Amino acid sequence: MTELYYFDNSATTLKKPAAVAEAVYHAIADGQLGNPARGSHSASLNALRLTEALRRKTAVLFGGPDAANVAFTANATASLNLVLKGLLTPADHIITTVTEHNAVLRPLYQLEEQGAAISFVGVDEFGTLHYPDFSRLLRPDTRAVMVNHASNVTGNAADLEWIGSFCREHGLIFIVDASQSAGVLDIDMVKQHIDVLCFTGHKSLYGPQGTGGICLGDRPLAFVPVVTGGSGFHSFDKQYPTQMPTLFEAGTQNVHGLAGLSAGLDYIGQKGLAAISLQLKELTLRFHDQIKDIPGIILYGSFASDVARAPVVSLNLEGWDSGDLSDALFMDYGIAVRPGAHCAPLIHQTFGTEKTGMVRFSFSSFNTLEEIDYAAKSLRQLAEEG
Amino acid sequence: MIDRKHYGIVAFPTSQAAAAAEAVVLEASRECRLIPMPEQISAGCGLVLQTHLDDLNAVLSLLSERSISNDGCYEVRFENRKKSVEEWHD
Repeated sequence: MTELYYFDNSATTLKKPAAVAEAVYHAIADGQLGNPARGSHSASLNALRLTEALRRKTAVLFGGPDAANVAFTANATASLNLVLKGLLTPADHIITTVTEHNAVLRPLYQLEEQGAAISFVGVDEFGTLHYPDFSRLLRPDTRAVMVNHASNVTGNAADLEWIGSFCREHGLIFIVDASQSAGVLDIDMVKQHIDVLCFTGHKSLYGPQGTGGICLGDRPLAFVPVVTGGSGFHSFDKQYPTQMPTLFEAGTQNVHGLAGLSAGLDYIGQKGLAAISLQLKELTLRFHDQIKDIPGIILYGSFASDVARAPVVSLNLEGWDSGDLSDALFMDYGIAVRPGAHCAPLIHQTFGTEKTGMVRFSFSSFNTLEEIDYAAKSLRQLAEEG
Repeated sequence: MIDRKHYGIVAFPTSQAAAAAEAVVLEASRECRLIPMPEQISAGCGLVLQTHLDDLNAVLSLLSERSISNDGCYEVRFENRKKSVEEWHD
């Protein structure tokens, strides 16, 4: 089989640390992990201790105030649905951005159907948020600001500290989608005044698919439980408990997957977030530098070296549909990338790429300089061949 | 070994808090176990922290230092095949 050059890491990281796979294997094969918080036997307590240790690691990674404020879910989409539908009401006005993923937009549109109002912060020609919009869009009934940390299309990062300060100044709840930035960029929930952080485990945290979570900040928020069921305690109450982290964890946790996520966080801890961040920026800018002058290329986002970003390069070649280009890259060069709209319709409308889509290259810490050079060379060859 | 006929327990609002408490108490080299919550207690999660009765004060201090909240302490006693669970006060 032809070697696969994988540059679709914003969808999911394909290569994981060996320790992640081993942790998942041992989680099952060793037969030591039961259902957490469902008994006092060793198997149940082992699972409880594993999830508690992971809460502590997660809180440290995100600068969260308390490990007890970390809940685990199936992915960022689940987290965002639980948060947005559990926190916001039809009476609320929400400020969000045109860079959001449908995991944010569609729950918000559901709230809009029930009466909530949504306003969108725009971007400039480089995909950078237009920060004066936040003040311009503010209304007396504005309750929350919902932004992604890094766009899954341009990779450009929002200035969380600025937005967090804006939210504190105006008494707004600050919700962040860290799908593309967790494990890539520094996040400090306290310093950045983040009230709710939603993350996924299977991208740059290198965990298995089916893992993710919610980390709450230091301000108390009243949530309505969206998914209810067994909690392991208060079994005779009709109402589902609202204490964190049970609030978001009805039913049995994905302990086997969380064992893998724990190993993923260990990998980040050993390698160092700052080192990973630097490596990914180098890979991204190296790729960008090699392709920026290809005739007919159109690049999206800002690639200035001082701009914080996720390792994403989205592009088009004049005369190519993004689906055709991505398929040619795969068939001729074994390169895996993502074409189309990337579930982020508003940023595509902003760039006028609703029909063509874009081809997105996205990197991980397992990509090498040689792979980057191969991808750039292959793209140039395709462009020259037409 | 904790006396199975006479011991102290601490209840917690969540199992996660109970697990965090266990880690803190073990770290301080004090004996403890997570056990099922007695039916006599209506508050708290499904697990309680079992300790030597004499250790309860020290355990509560440890939990307080780490800001781990609890739902109360109890003295558990078995006599003549009957189990009594009473709120514990220093």
